[in-house]
Amino acid sequence: MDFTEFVRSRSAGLVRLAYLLTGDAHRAEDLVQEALLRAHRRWRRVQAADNPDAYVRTILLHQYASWRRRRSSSELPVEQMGDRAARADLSGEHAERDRMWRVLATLPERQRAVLVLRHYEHLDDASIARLIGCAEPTVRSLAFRAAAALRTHPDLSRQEQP
Amino acid sequence: MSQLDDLLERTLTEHAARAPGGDGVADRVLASAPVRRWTRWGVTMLAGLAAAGVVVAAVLVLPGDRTSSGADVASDPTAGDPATEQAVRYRGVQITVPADWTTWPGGEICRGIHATVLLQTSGRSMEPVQDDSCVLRPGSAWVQLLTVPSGRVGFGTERDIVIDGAAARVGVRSATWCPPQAGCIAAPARDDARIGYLGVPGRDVSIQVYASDPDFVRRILASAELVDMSDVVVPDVVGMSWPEAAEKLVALGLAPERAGEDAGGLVTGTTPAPGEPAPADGTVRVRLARGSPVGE
Repeated sequence: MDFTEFVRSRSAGLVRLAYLLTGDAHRAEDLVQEALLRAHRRWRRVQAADNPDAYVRTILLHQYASWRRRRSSSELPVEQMGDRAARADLSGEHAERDRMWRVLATLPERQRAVLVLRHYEHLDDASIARLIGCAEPTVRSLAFRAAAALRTHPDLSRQEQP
Repeated sequence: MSQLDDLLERTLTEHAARAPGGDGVADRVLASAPVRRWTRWGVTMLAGLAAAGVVVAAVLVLPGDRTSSGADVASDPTAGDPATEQAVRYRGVQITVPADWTTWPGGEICRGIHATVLLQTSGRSMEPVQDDSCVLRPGSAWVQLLTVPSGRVGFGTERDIVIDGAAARVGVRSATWCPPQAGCIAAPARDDARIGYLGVPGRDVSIQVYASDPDFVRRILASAELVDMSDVVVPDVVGMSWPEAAEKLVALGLAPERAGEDAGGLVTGTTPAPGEPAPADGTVRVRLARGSPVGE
């Protein structure tokens, strides 16, 4: 598969993944664009890889982690997000998903990445470990901590109640 | 599967469906990838020349996302999103950096021409983050809210664009620039300075454009499209010192055509007068007490 074909066929899926990681459509597109451009620079290596998709997804995840680091060190918002709806306004399934989406955004990037790769991409721990560059037990640990964070988050804790 | 896992899956599935399509990204990547390869080679060459004592500027140009403002944004597939619509406002400013404002402790002289594009989104402000990487070279132009590549600019990223056939790379930086106390009026380095990403309500994008050719920046300036200054009124800067007034004007997206020889003078008047709406092109002329009037 040449680069053009790869880009045409994979962009949409990569953007979806990036969107779930970042929660921001524009950031997602930027991440994918940068990942693809980096892949282009080493396209021969990507082509030669056993799984070019995984190779590019790995680049994307690295970009994502890099972005989160830059963001946390250089951007200082001075106002809190003021557009959060009151709890009384949040009812029904959509509201639950909305809360979940917001809470996901607060997770550390690796925890969020593990959740997305597990629950959206439905990858096993070994694949996730390869993608994010860690050992399988680390994946399980990240998933455990992420799940714990979700369970104990005040906005979501009632999900686990009978 | 627990309730929480189920909710998580449903959340991810729902939001994945909201993700933008990949066509726009694919188009941009395929348009710019070959040029980026060339650009990297070019930059390497330029670095070699610079090391040899030749002053060069990084010329970064890329094809793909040529955008000059409203029209492109209007075609944005996310334009129906109220948050995105809210984000689309442009202002433009042009000034000339005076010859004696050349240094900034800790900084370095910009290589080449330095223009800046600032895209204002909406009102949520960000703390200014000082960037000590660059000081404008005398005579260079500073532009705000001028041209953005397709309105899809990420914080900390660089985007390759083509403007009027010239090569350029725009980089989105986290910074506001020269602090006023350093004598540089080119940056709104105050608490109303805003940084961030396009597409996120309440945040702005700052883009720096570097070019080796002054004509390149002039072309950018000539292509400036100033939109929606209707709610901006000229502030009362009469009686202020020039740097102080300039700081205020630049913060609002207004600035004199030239800010040069009389950097130390006091402002005696503006056109339009204070309190009046800003002109359509976003340029306010300032008269100073000493020396020649600025911008006239």
